[in-house]
Amino acid sequence: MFIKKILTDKVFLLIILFLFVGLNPISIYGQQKGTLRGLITDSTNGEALPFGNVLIKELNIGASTDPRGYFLIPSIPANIEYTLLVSYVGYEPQDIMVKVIPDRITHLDIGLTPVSIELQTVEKVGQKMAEDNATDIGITRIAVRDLEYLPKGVETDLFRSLQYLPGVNKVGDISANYYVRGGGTNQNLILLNKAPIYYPFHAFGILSAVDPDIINSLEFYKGGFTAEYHGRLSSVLNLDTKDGNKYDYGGKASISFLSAKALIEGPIPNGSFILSGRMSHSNQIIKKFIKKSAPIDFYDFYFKANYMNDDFWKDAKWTVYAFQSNDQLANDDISKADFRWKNRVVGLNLFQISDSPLFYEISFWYSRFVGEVFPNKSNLTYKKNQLRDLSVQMDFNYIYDSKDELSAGIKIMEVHNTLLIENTKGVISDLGAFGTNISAYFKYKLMRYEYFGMDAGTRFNLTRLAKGTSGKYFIEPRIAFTWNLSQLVQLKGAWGMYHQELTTLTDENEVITLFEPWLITPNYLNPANAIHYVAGVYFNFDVDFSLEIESYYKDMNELPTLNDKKFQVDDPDLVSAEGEAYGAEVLLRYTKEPISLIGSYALGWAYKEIDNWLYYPKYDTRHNASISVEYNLGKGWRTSASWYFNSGAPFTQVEGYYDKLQTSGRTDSYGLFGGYAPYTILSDKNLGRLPDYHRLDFNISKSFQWGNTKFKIDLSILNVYDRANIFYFERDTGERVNMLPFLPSIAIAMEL
Amino acid sequence: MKRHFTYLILFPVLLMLLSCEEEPFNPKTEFVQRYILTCVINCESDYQTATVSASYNVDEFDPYANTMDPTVENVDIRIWYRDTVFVMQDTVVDRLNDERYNTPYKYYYVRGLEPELGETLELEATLTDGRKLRAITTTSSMLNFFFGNGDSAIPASDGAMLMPTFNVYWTFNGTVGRDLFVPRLFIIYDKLEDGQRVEYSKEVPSDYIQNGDNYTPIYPIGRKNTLVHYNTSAIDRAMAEISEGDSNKQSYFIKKALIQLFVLDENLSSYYGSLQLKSDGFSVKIDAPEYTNIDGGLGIFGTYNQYFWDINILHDYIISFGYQIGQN
Repeated sequence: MFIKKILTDKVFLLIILFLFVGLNPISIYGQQKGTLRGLITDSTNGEALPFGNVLIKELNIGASTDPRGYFLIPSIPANIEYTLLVSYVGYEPQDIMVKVIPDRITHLDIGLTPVSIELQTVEKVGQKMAEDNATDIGITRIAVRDLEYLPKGVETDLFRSLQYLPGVNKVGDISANYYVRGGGTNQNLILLNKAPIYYPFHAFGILSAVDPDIINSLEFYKGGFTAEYHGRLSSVLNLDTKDGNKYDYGGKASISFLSAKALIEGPIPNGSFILSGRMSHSNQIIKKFIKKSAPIDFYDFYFKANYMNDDFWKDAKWTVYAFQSNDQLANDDISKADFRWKNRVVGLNLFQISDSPLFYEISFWYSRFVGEVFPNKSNLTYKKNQLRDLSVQMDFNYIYDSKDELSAGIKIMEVHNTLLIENTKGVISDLGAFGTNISAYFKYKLMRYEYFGMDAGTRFNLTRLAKGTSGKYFIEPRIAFTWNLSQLVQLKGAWGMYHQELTTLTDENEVITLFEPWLITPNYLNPANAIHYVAGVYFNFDVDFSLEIESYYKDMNELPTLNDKKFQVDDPDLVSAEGEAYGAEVLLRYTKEPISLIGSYALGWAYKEIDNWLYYPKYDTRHNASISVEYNLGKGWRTSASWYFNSGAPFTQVEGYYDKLQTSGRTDSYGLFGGYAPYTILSDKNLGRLPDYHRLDFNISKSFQWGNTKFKIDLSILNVYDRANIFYFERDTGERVNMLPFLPSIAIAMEL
Repeated sequence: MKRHFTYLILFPVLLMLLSCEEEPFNPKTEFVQRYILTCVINCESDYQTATVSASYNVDEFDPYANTMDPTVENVDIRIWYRDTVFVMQDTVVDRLNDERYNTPYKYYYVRGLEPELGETLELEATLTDGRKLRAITTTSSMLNFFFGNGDSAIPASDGAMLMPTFNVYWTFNGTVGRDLFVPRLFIIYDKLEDGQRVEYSKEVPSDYIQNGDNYTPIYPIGRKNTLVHYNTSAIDRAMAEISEGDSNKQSYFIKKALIQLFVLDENLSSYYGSLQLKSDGFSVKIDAPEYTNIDGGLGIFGTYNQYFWDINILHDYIISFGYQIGQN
């Protein structure tokens, strides 16, 4: 609260202004200096290689590639030949001799050659130098190939891979959905090529709807994210997809116990395309997860094409993409309800580089989520939720000679939200709304000092999605810094204010949910908001060995929460809650071929408060730990094992029973009530704790080539020692319902 | 390499050794004695009842394992209505079903309390240890009420052909507020037993779900709106069920249909609403909200009114089932 008072918006803006004007004298290229820009790609298919490293050996300065594979090193003394070291995990490093032209940008297209499956010993160069002052606290960047060899259970899953990270919790084995640092699942922003996907899950959440085969890189922000992201309180998952093979046609097909999928890619004139599709073929594995038969079918497909033609538009890359996922639960029995939910995203991006160190990108997208409940003759009522998000966003990034960066952007987001609910009046009413959010941001990234880096900026929300409300605009200042105390130790910190205007009607009492509608926060509630305070110490013992310690405090207010006490039709569906979360996390990485080890531990507390009643939300697990070991056995064999642990999740205990007056049993009497039946008295909400959870997963895979076709056979075992982890208990019977048992699975992939 | 590989093997083995057998887990917390007061006032009657019971615990999770009658005796229950205090008396009756509790059914009653619309009642129950349970409720605020605009006879028709639904509408004057309507439809008939006609009623569901040869009735639930629909096919089925298994259809005399409509006050509406839990069969809900307006305990203190409306059943329709036309 103290910090909140001191760091008012106005003070913050003054700081930003000072940084922009005071620290950044007008940059004019030094006469004997130039800028080096490059694009690093896979030489076999032209796919961009994100988060790679380059280092100018003689100057000992470097940079990392962005998600598009680009890097930029300004202010290099010109007309001198340098050695540029380029490295990327899984690729042969290159030494390139380069001479920078004065007052110009020298562009390099660098193709790296993948090392063979058998070798994969990679010299990592420049990584430490490139990232020395990066303001990246709380950020995890993963190239998708790093996920391939982790134990995957049924299938490789992007979202489940996040559950390895400290500060990321799950509730049960069933769902790939995740909770970040004490925030709810609806506080996670999931972006596919900048466009949000509102419910990217298949089959009760068992599987994420985004096929990892289409993803090139992911960036995951656990908190303290900077001003370019908005709309969620807790985390951002930024997924960038592959472009498709620019040189040759290829394909890939694989099958697991749950689904079958195929992917084709190849060149088109001045560009490339990628097309993938996946569909379920069996429900047997789902039964293992949810302990009952569920006639659920799903599919997803993705298409992307990109076009680069200097004759048409110089130095521009055009991308068009489409994504759709569809799930349907259709019962044969008409006494049961049917469910359907689907996502559709269509987008167009223009990425432009120029003769100056300026990048800009314009993105249009249409993202739609639809969820429906068809009651048939069950006692449910018809419900339909639709959220249509039509947005345009422009981002600019300018890199000064000093290496400082100025970024700015504007976003116009129009949301049509429909929530049709058939109430007890028997009529269908629409709780949806329509609104426009116009927001802009700017931020200044101070990168000129080797020992210090800072990213400070703010986002201005000029309108609110919910109409007719007071306080229609709000400001979200944010700042992050890195301070290198020595070569070994870095201090990092971040602070920021965040708002969220879209929420879901999430029943916290449900451990399996089928209908979780999105809606614009109603007028009678203020937008949810949060303040993040993050601090960390990073130890870089070696290029291959690092230790990260982070602590956080998150203050959340006005959280829209499903009204547990909605006994009357006209009671509000949502009430406002307060939230608080704090904790500390440790992440240890050791990666030296042929072994890779990641260990994590998180100690955290999360609270929610409604009507002055404080309780632990269901995802408040005090201790979380994981160890993941991957080993390259050579000759195409790889193996890995992962072990997870979390202390018991909260649950509500049974206190006793009483005989409760019940409605009439329809025994042809004329009474309204029909006698008494036992009823369970529950203790205070979530005061009990389930037993600890732990599980060991194992994976072994063999990759080999037969003719021109690459094969990969993958055997995974979930819960190797068959730990009986409790999912929930049936209150009525006391029956303990456990999570996944020992579960072996096999997947076969073929790539042309 | 060899050393790494050894570690890799040791890692899962070590974790397997660390893992233990299923931990004992008790989903129960310490039992706390609570008291439950249940008093639902029928505003159409001058005879009102209440019960007071205590919560109980069982060793496992089957509450039916408790066979000790939890009723609390010697409670002083008083209801304030206008300027009068009504003191309830205790009494016992034999249980219709003594499978669980084999002691007589104990309850409290009072005569002469017939509250009118829009009136507030206050209740206080004092247990022998001095503990008090208190509650307040206000009867329905409607000024007057009548049925109308619905179908006047079963089966509903437009004069030429049968309609798919039989519709009942009602109208009120005044503010419904947070009251709830609970409609029920009965077929009233006599059955000839040993030469005597004995009256019975058959409740009609609004629909049936057919699952193979089985039919599951669906009854209308509480609602805020002023109408209810009954599928004609459901009425047909209910009519047939009256004599199901009995070939002697002529021993049934169909007299009329009867709509019974309950109007629940706000507290009773909330209580009733909390009982109408809905499940989609897949979502797993681990906690359930509970409604009570009893200060110091659990249970409900609420009121309701009820209205009846006779509906004619067409003679041809009765005869089509092989039944006789009864006398009202």
